[in-house]
Amino acid sequence: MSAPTTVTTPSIIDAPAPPPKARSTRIFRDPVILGCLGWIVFLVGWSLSGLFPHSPTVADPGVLLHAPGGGYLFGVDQDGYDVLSRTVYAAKFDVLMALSGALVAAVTGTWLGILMSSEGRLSALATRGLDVFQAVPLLVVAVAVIGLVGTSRTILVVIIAAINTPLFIRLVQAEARLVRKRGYVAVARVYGVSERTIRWRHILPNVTGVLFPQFSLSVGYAIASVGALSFLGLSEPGSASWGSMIKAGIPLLPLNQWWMVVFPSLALFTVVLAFSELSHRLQGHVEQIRGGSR
Amino acid sequence: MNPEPIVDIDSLTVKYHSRQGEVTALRDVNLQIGRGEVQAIVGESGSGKSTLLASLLGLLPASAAVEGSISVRAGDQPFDPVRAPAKEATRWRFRQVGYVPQLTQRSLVPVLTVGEHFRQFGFGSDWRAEAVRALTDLGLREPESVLRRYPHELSGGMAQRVCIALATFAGKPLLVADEPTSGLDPLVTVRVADLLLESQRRTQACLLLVTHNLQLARRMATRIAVFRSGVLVEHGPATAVLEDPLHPYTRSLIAAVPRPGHPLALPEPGPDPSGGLIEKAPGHFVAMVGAA
Repeated sequence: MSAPTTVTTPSIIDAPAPPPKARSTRIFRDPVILGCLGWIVFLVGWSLSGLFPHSPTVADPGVLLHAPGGGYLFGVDQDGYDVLSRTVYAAKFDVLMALSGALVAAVTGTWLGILMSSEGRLSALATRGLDVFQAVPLLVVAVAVIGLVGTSRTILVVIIAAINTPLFIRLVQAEARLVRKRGYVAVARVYGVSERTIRWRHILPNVTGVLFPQFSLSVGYAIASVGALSFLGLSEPGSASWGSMIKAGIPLLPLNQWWMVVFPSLALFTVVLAFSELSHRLQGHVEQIRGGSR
Repeated sequence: MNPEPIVDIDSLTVKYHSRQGEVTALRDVNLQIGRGEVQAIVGESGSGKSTLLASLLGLLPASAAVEGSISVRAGDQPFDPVRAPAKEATRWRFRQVGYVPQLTQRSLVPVLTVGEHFRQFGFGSDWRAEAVRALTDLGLREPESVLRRYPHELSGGMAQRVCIALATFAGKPLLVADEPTSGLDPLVTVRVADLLLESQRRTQACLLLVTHNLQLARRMATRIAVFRSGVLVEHGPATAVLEDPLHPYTRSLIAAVPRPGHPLALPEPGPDPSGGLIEKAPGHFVAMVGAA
């Protein structure tokens, strides 16, 4: 009664499957990401351009404490500097210092995180060492170090890097351990592919996605830390930075001369917010991409 | 009894030391595999299949203690993968061992093109020509275009063939397949089993097939070894083991495969041969090897 079952299996596999659309383009259509990036690029770009309404480095004693308006949109401070020019000028140092510190941290942290992602005594030991390092209150140590050897931009960058490197190590280590449990790492190892190739050609490209949100967050925190250190007077004396501007303006607040505090604070606040919001949004996109590839 | 043993496992015992104490993963295993043979290793999870595989490939974790020996004559001279230093074992695998993982895109590195896989996994200057030949042999049209693709640009069928081609293209004498068809539907399983067998016959490699799928073992294997709790409980020609199993555990494994017209009744598998020594499986091979 039953009809004979026939099975036809294609003996030739054609090459279909059009390459899927790059997911990264979606990131650049997100209005929040565009807004945050736009604000940061605008501020730093303006700072680097050198086109200020007044000189940020040459004071004009004739207009001391000029209130906002009349050619001085953000007013003039007690030394005769135009607050708008100086606030924009400071972006160059504050943001770029934070960026370079976070970049050093990201590179070092990624390198160490991947090295520490394999199971073994050495990496367990290194992870414990990291715990000890993170138990040290680095900002306090930073204050002490600056007190001892004086301050410079390099020292600030090193401090930022030291604070952020452990965060990158842990992030990359955790992500690389997940990657190692995927089939292709075992496959490569069985094939006798060298550990070096597995680490840098197979694992590294698969953990970079998680770096971007952390990087953005680290830059945001680093700007806040630079602000705090210069507020404490630990930045280079005489250099423009939002923290030191705020500090200098505070004694004048009771005299209703608010503009020296409000405008640098606004710059600091909006830039830190832009970086952390950027991080938040990137996190969402990274999770979407990872979800799609599993 | 075997024509020319390629793999000779002699009273192999593997123990893991952990904080919880000692776990015996394999106990006194003796097994020979000859040239051109397809040896299936069957058993449930935790039976020691992954440990056997890792021992044979020189990929045991550092916490493992080994007694007995393995000798693989898949080169000019015999090689002992469990005693050799890790670097030497890596070089040996590179030249002698082809690995057939679970046959999906996930076994391929997502950031490398198919061609880069062949270049990294193979040796010699002629990898491209050999890759093209292997892909063509496996029925892939336009192999050159396949080499330029990334894993996510492959269809399921293409990925299966790429994985098989990677394992067989350099004519490596020892092939190891670890649950190659898990996650594939029964028809596809049969198709890739036949493709894999065809490739194996071309190179006359010795194929070690680790699986818990008895139908796959029936279709592919010339010999079957049944493991339970780290002990080799039955070993022999595939037909003998499947048609006339001697060990009660094998009988219960075979009975667990549903067949039309037969009520699913599980015979008593017999006492645990390890005497309760094995409480915990050492883990899946992929996770074990990847984390090292």
